[in-house]
Amino acid sequence: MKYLRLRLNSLRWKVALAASIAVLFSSASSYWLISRAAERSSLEQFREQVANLAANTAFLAAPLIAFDSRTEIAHALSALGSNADFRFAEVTNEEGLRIGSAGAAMNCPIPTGPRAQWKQAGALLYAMAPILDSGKLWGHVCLALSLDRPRARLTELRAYALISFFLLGGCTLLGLFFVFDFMVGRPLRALQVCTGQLALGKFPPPLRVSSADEIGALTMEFNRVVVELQKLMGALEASTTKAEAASLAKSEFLANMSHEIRTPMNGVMGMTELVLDTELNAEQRDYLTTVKASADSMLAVINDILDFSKIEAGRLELDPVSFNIRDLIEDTARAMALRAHEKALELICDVLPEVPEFVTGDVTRIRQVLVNLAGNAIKFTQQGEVEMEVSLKAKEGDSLRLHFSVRDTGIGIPQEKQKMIFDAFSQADGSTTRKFGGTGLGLTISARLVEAMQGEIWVESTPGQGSCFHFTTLLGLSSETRDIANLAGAVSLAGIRVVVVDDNLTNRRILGDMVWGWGMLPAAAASGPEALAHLRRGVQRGQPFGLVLTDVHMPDMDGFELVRRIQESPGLPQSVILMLTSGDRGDDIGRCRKLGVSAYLTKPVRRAELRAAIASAMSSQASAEQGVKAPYLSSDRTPRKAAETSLHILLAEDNAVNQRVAMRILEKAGHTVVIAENGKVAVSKLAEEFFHLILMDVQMPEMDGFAATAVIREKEKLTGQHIPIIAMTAHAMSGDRERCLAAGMDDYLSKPVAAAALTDLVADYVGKTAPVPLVQ
Amino acid sequence: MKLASVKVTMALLLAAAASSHDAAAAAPEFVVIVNKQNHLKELSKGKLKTAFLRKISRWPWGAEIHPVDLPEGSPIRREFDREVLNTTSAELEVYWIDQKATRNIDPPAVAGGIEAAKAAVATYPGAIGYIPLMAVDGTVKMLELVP
Repeated sequence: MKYLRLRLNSLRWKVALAASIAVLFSSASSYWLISRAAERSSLEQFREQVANLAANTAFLAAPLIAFDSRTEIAHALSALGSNADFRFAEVTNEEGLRIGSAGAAMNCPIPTGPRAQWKQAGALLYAMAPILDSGKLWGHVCLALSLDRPRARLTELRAYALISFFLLGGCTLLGLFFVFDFMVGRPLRALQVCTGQLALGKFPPPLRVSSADEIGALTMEFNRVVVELQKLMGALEASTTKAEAASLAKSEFLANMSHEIRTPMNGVMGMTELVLDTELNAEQRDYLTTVKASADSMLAVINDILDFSKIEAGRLELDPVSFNIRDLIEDTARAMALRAHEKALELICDVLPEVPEFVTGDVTRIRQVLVNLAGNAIKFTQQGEVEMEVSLKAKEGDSLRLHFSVRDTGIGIPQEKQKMIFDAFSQADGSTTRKFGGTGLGLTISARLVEAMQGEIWVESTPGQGSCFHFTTLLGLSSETRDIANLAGAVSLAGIRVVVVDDNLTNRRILGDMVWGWGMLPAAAASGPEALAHLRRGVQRGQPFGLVLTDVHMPDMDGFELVRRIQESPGLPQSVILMLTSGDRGDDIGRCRKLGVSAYLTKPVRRAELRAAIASAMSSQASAEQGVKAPYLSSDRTPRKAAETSLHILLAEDNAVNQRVAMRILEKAGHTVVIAENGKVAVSKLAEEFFHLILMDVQMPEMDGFAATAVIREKEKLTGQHIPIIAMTAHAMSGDRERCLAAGMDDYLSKPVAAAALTDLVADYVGKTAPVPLVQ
Repeated sequence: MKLASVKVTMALLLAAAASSHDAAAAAPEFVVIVNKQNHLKELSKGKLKTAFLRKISRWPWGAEIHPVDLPEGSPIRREFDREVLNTTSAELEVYWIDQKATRNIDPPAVAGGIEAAKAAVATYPGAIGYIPLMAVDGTVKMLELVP
């Protein structure tokens, strides 16, 4: 059935079917008529023949009856037997008595009468004729003849008719089919094939117009359409090529602009940071801080725009690494804390317990989305709180889906705007941008980033009551528990020789000054060949360089080429290489990885980031060499040998997350940290090591901050020394400060501890305190 | 047509033989004669009557029966009418008028005399007639009359 329907889809089969029905019908009716005619003619002829036979017999029989010659009658009747159809004959006299018969004995079914009659019964035809002579009825003749032969003849006739109609119909059909196929089917199929090619984007050669009928007209029109389309496609292709070239030029321009903007920005920000580290009076410091803040916001805007253009150009690349999700949230919260606290907003972080510690994903991008959402939340909230929450939505094998939400109690978003806010260049209100600032690209970028991470982003909001932004991301489950940041923090960078390669003089100076500040020994190179020369000279003098810090974009020999040359030179040590990219050429990151570059940073570089990256890269190298003592790494952790700005700090904190966060902040600032889980441990550690400073959580199990401080101060009474103790408290009450100072502490920080606040406070003690041993 | 020409010819023959007619014998004996080609050898009185009253038109072999009568008033004719047809001339006349009217059948041809009748019978294959025994010769065939 299906096959039949399939075949019937062709026009020729449909026409063939219709023609078959017509031919069948006409043949059938013609056959019926012919067969009727044949029947009539053959049977009637036979009847007439029989009637004649009966009449002849009657004619012959009359005198035989009259003269009563029965033998003659019998003779005459048996003569009829020569007829092949003959079955029976009888002659009766006037009184109806049989006076002679021939053939199989049977009774004549026809009543005797004055007229000739016939009757058909079964396979026999009976004929009765009266025997008349000179007006006198002498008797009757009755004949019975078999109909078999005439019937067989009729059947034969019918068969001939049937065969001839079958042949005629078949020929007609076949002829019709081929004529139709030739005149309609073939040109239509050619059209169909060409249309199919057209649909595939190929332009078929013009079709031959073989007739002047509708098909011919259609073919002609089709040829015209193809020509028109070809012209149109040509024009379209040309304009597409042009547009693509323009788009490429635009991307190229943006990438160049990115580089051109970032290089001076690096100068501005780096110099500002360096200047801020020098002796300044209050006014100068204030101005420079403003410069730094302005540079930061400018960088944020530039990053937004560049990010957006990168996403639009489809060149967004994810860089999955293993990271700690709790650290991410706390880091983000700390980064936002200052702004939240300025507006007296409560910032709450909640990572639900079922969320795994270590996951794999593009931490930078997730942080970007989080910072964006949290930044918006803080921006649009006048009072109340901002809450960040992470929950596990689904977990399947090695991949898991995390659900992040950022809730605020701000102005909210009207229902009708909620759909649009993720579109580019549309904020809830044009005036919002003016009032609150920002490029308005943040949410668009966030949405695209989330999309790239196979997640979803959406918002729930009631105007006046607040908004809740949600997003989900697909992350990998990481088996890694090694905390690179911890390792990195344990490394002192002092004494490591480093080549700084950058074609820009300012940047060279900034980078050199930064690494110099950490006790590293920099050598500046303005180009790749110069850097190679430095490296060779270092080997010759027996003072190899442990680190190469190079810019990517340089004239003549770029960063990648330099790296390749270093790796190909057998005489050179395989130094740790750190690259500074503008981050806007899509393949930079990939090329870095391929070349085995230890780390890459996006310009402009912040000091803390650079230190963390160097430390991380050096320690990875060290751990990669598995126990072989890294020649460029100082693992000596005695505080006396550390750089002058570095403090050895005891951190008394029971919460593991807080421990890590505080430790990371401090280590980023160049300090070394030892952790004590509670007051008791802190007191005993103090007996084992020298410390510059103690950071003391107030609430701890076993021995709390107040008690520990009391013990330490009690012991110090014997030596007359004083180690600074800074309290950390979650209670942001005004009375806390007094309680802490009363307990013998020197300063006070409220939780969550903002990174800047902590480093600033600790930095205040640099140089003012000497490591203090605690005498038992 | 054919019948008409036969009649004319027969009439001429009968007229020629009329002169030799002998009417002297009283209650004379007669015999039935037929053409030599006649298949029959004998004939019953009933069948002879049927033939002469023209109730059957053909011999069993299909030849037409042509009965030949002797002139009215001939003693043999009278004897024949009485003996074979069991009727009188008057009744016979009525019968033939009736037959002519209803079936369009004419009475048998009448020969001029015995010799004429014999000659007619000798000439026509289907002819049948009656003559005195002494008049019979080889030109005709005599049928035995059976009851």
